[in-house]
Amino acid sequence: MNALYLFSSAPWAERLGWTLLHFLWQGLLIAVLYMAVLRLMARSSSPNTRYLLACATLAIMLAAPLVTWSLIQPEAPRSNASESIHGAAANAPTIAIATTSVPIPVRPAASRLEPAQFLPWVVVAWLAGALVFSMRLAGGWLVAARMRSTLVRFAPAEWQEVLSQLGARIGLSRPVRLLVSALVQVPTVVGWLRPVVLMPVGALSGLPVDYLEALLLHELAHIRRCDYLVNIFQSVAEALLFYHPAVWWVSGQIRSERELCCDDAAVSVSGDSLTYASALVRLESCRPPSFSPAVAANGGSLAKRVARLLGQPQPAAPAQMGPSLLAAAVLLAVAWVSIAPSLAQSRQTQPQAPAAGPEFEVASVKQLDQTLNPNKPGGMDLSFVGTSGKAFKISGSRVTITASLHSLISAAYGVKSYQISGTPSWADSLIYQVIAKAPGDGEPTQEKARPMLQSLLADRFQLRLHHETKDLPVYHMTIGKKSSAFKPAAPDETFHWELEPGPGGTMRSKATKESMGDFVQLVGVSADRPVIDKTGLTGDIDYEINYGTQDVRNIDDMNRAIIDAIKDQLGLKLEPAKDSIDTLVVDQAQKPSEN
Amino acid sequence: MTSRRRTGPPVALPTAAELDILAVLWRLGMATVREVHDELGKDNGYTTTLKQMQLMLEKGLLSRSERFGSQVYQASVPKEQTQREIAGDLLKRAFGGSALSLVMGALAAQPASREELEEIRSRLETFVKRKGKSR
Repeated sequence: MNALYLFSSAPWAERLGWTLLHFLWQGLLIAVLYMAVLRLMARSSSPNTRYLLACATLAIMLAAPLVTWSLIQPEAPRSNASESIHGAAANAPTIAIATTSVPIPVRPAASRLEPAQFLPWVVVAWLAGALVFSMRLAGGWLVAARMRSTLVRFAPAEWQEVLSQLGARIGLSRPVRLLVSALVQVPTVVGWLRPVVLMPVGALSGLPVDYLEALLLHELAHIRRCDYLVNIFQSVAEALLFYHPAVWWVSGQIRSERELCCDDAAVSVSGDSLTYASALVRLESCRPPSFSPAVAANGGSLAKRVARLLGQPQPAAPAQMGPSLLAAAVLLAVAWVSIAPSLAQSRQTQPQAPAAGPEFEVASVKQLDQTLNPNKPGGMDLSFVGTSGKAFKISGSRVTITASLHSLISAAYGVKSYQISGTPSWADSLIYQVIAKAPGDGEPTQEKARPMLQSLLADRFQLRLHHETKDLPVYHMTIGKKSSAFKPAAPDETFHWELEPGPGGTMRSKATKESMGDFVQLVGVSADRPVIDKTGLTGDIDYEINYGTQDVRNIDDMNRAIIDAIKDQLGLKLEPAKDSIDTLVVDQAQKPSEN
Repeated sequence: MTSRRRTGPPVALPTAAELDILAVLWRLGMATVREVHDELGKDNGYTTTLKQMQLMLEKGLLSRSERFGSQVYQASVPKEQTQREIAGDLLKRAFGGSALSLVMGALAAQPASREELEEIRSRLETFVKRKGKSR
């Protein structure tokens, strides 16, 4: 199945599959419209009008998939949630922490029949069928072409002359060759560029002259109307859209109306419909008889033609539509089942549950008595779970996370804190401890643990969210001037962070070997906008700031002080900007019940 | 002399003249006596050709059927086919049906059943009689 998987991941394969599926209902719709117009026309129509209508219908049926194809957008690559910042310069620095490639899931659980699963099969089946039909068409065309030269001889000169005269009468300018062929049972036309009329052996000597003239007029009418060419286009349509019965039905309509048109054309020249009808009947009698008891496939077409020529009411059309309509209805049902789920999917404004991927074997979620008190700087320690993964404690198969819901979402989806919106007020302050066991014995990586955490959040917190791109005001953080208080960490250092009172009533925040990601988040917590790192720094840093004075009264003052300190002492610049940022919008979240 | 059709292999090898006729029929597939005679282009009269072909029929070299009221002859001895001819034959066997749907015949590809044909014929005759009466 590897080849199939590769094949299915080709971008055009999915597009083609949808195009083919959509044609199931489109074809039916077009056929129904055609029937409606036909019924409207009923009495007042001529075969030629109905013929043109059927041709137009088939042309529309051929065009529909082309339109569908162009309307289906190629699948946009799933954005990397934590790094998808559009409009950013190409030299956007990559933050050295694990930038997860876990996309924001917007598709419903895989337990429902995923169209993406059977779509490759659809395309493969169609390709096989189209190939078979195309080969049949090519082979048939070849054999038909050879009929002009195999087992043929020139007709007697006088008949060639008769044909030329008849051609002139019907309005043909091109000369048409008359041949006698051992391969045909009835007078036949082959070719359109240099058409020939093939007469069966014995016909020219065995049939009455006026019958022969009538039959020749019929064939010449085919040539004048370019029916051979139209027929080839029909065959192409049948090869490409072979799976839809409506296509075959309309194509059959074209063929039967075409014969009536040529009957009319022949009679209009000869002026004698009785002779013509008699010629058809005599021709049919001279054929080797059919031994099958059932009615021929074109059941009653000769009867219909003769009745029409004689001006008699035509025999009722056989009820052939029944099985075709049933088949079409079945196809429609199949189409509906396969397309409808994806229609629900594509509406991205619907709140979706995350994909049912890997899950924890067991998990417990407990609300801790502590809350995140923004007035206590120490409380910040727990708030950046973020992408640093430090609060993700993984030992063996056990995963422990202690964080607020906001941070849990941040950890589970690998997004920054500011990329999450719509959370309830308690999501920032209440702290939960999640202790879970991953399936299997091995130690899961963070990448593996994330989808499990997503499932847990969906389950325990009833978390529902959706993906939206928003233009957010941000800060771009760049290095203004070099500062000794902000420098890359030495390789032999270990992470350490302390917060202690500093001189002059300030607070000193000092860190060694802190990751840029964490640092940026720290800045972001204090800034009034999300902060995007544009410093270009990878790796860890050391920094030290002293912030705050006696004048700090509340959290806003403190944040401002922190930002000032960062700018002044660390030499960093915060430039206001507006970026298009992929965000997660929380539609629903509830406090978990005790388990 | 009654014309008996032999179904077994021919008794004797074809003569030179008979080979000429066979060659024509191999090329044309099937033909009336008139057509064979014209193809041969010999000085013999038409009757000679006719007699010859009737003899070949008795010998089992030819088979005969009726087309449009004429007698039409076919070679019943297969010709040694060239590669090309064999390939052509295979093509025809594989794609003959498909070819029929591409060419424009005066009648539908499927012949009408005997009953249907009878019905149509009687319709036609009724019509003619009625028309004759109204004159």
